[in-house]
Amino acid sequence: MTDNGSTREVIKVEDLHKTYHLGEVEVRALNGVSVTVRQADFLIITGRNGSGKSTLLHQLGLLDQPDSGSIVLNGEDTHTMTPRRRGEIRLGEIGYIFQEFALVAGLTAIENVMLPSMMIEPPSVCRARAKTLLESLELIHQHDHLPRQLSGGEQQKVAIARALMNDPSVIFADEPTANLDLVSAGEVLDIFEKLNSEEEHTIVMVTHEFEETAIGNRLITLSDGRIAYEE
Amino acid sequence: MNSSKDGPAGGINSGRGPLNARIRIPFFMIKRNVARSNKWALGLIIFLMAVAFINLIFINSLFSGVVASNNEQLINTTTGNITVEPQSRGGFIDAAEAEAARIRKVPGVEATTAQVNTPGSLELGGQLNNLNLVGVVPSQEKKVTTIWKHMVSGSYLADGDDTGIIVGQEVLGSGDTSDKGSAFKSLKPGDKVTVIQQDFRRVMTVRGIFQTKFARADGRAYITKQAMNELLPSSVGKATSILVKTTHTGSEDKVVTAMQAAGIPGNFITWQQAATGMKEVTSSFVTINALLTAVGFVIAAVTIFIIIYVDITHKRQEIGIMRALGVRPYLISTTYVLQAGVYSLCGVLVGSALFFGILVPYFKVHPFSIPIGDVTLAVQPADFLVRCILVVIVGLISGLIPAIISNRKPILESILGR
Repeated sequence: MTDNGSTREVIKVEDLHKTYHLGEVEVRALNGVSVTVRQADFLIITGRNGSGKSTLLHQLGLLDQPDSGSIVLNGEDTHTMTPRRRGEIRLGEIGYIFQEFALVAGLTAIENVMLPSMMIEPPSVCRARAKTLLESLELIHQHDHLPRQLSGGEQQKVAIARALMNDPSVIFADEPTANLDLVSAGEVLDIFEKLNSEEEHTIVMVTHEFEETAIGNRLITLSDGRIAYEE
Repeated sequence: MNSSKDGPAGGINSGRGPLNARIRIPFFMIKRNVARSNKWALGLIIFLMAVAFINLIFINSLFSGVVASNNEQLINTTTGNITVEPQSRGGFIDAAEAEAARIRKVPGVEATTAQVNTPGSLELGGQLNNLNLVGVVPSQEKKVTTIWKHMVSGSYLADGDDTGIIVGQEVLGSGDTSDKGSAFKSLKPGDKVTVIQQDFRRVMTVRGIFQTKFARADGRAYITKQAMNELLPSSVGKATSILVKTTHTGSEDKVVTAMQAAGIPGNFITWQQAATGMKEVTSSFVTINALLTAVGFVIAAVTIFIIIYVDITHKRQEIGIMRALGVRPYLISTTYVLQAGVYSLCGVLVGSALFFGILVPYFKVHPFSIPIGDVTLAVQPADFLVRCILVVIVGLISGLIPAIISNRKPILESILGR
C-alpha cells in the first residue's frame, strides 16, 4: 500500500499531448496534462464538453495512444509497451467502464462478466466468480438476460461487474451515469463509492455532472486540454 | 460488494493463461454467436452458402453425368466392358460359342455374348435404309447389353426366332434426315421388312422398336443368330466379336490380362479404348467443365466473402469490446475465422442435403435428354470432396480478412463506431 512512506503511485501521467485531425482542422484534445493517481484514490475528472476528459481517460485506459508525454502504470511505462503487453495490461490491471456500457450483445449478463477471465481461468471458476459479482450488485436474477433485455442501469452494473472480474488495480469509468435515469445513476455511484471506500479500489471517473464530483476524494477540472483546477 | 479479494489467481498480471484456456474464447464466442444470432439471418447466410456450394458442384456433376452417361451407354448397348475381336481384321472368331464359354470362366467375367455384326439394309415400301445388322443369341445378349430394357414398342427377340427383327429408333428416322424415308417412320411391330445382306434377301417381321437414345446403338437392327446364319451363311458357328461383361466396371485391364493368361485368342478392346470417338468430346467437356468450375469457384468465393464480410463487419463493435478487454487479436481473429468455417461447413452440409436430397433424385426422374442418352447428375467423390474443402477454405479466408481488418482498426473507432 505504501511506497517510501507514501501511498503507492498507480498512475503517473506527465505532459500528455493528444491532437485529433478532423479533416484540415486540428483539435488539441490534451495539451500538457500531468497527474498522479495513488492507490485507493477516487479521482474525478470533470470539465465541459470537448475539454478532453474522455480523451484523457482513453489514454489512461490504454485504448488510445498519446502523441507525446508519458503514462506510467504500476511503475511500467506504457509508451514503450508492445501492443501485446498493452492488451495484457488492459486484461489484468485495468477495469474500464464505458458510458455506452459496451456489452457484447450476443452474450448474457453472466457471460459478459465472465469474458475477461475466460483466457485465464476455467469456465466453471469464471462463472462462479461472475455469479458472486452479480450477486453483490443485486443482479443475479438477471444473470441469463441478454443486454437488450436489461435496463440501462442493469447494463451498467453488468459492465461494472465485468470491469471487476480480473481484480484490476485501477477502474476507469467514462461518464458511467450519462445514459441512466436518476435512480440507476444513484445506484451506480453508490457502487463506486463502496468499491473505493470499503475495498480500496483505485477509481478514475469522468463526469460532467457537478453533483457527482463530490463522490471522489480528488478532483481535476479540464479546460481546453489542460488541467484548469485540481484539488 | 465482493469484488476484489477473490479475483483470478494465476497469470492475472501478465494476462496470459495456458493455451487451452486462451483457446476457449473462440469456442465460447462461436457457440453463443451461432446459437443466439438472428435465426433468419443465420438461415439466410447458410442458405446462400449452400447455393454457392451447389453452384460449384452442379455444373461439374452435369458434365460428369454426360461423360458417365456416354460411358454407360457405350458399355450397356454397344461394346460391353470388353470386346473380343478376331486377330485378323474383318475376319471371324471361329467356334464362337465355345470361345464365349471359355471367356465366361475367366475370373472377373460375368457374362458374354457372341455377335455377328455386319452391314446390311432394310427395304420397306421401295425405300432402302442402310444400317448395322447384328445377329445375337437373345438370352445371352440380355445378360450383357440392355437393349431389351429399351423397347419402346413390341418385344425383344426370343431365342430361336428366325423370322423376327428388332429395329432401333434411329432407323425409323428422327424427322429431319433426308435419307430415311417416310415409310420407315411408320414402322411398327408386326410390319414386314426385307432384310438385305449382300446377295441375300429375307422378309422378316418387326418384333419391336427400341430406343436407347444412344445413336450408335439406335442405328442398328438385331436379329437372332439363327436368322443371321441364313442371311450370312459364312458366319455359321462364328462371330465378329464377343462382348464381355465384367463383374466390376473399372476392372477391364485386369480381366484382359486374365483372358490373355487363359490363352483366349483375339484382340481385346476395352470400352475405354472403344470410346476413342468420344474422347475428343469428353476432353472438350473436361476443359469446359474446368472453365465453368473456375468461374463457379470465383462466384462462390465472392458470394461467400461478401456474406462473411458483411456478417463480421457487423461484429465490429463486438471485436472492439473484446480488444478493449484485452483479448488477444489472434484469438479474436480465430473466433471469426472459425465462425466463418462453421457457416461454410453448414452451407456445405445444407447444400449437399439439397443436392443429394432434391436435385439428384429430381434429375434421375427428369433427366436431361441429349443425343447420347439421358443425363443425370453424376458426382465424382474426389471432385465433391475437393469442392467441399474449397468452400470451407474460402469461408475461413473470408472470415480471416475482415477479422484482421477489424482488429487493425483503432479500438475506440470499433467500439464507438466513429
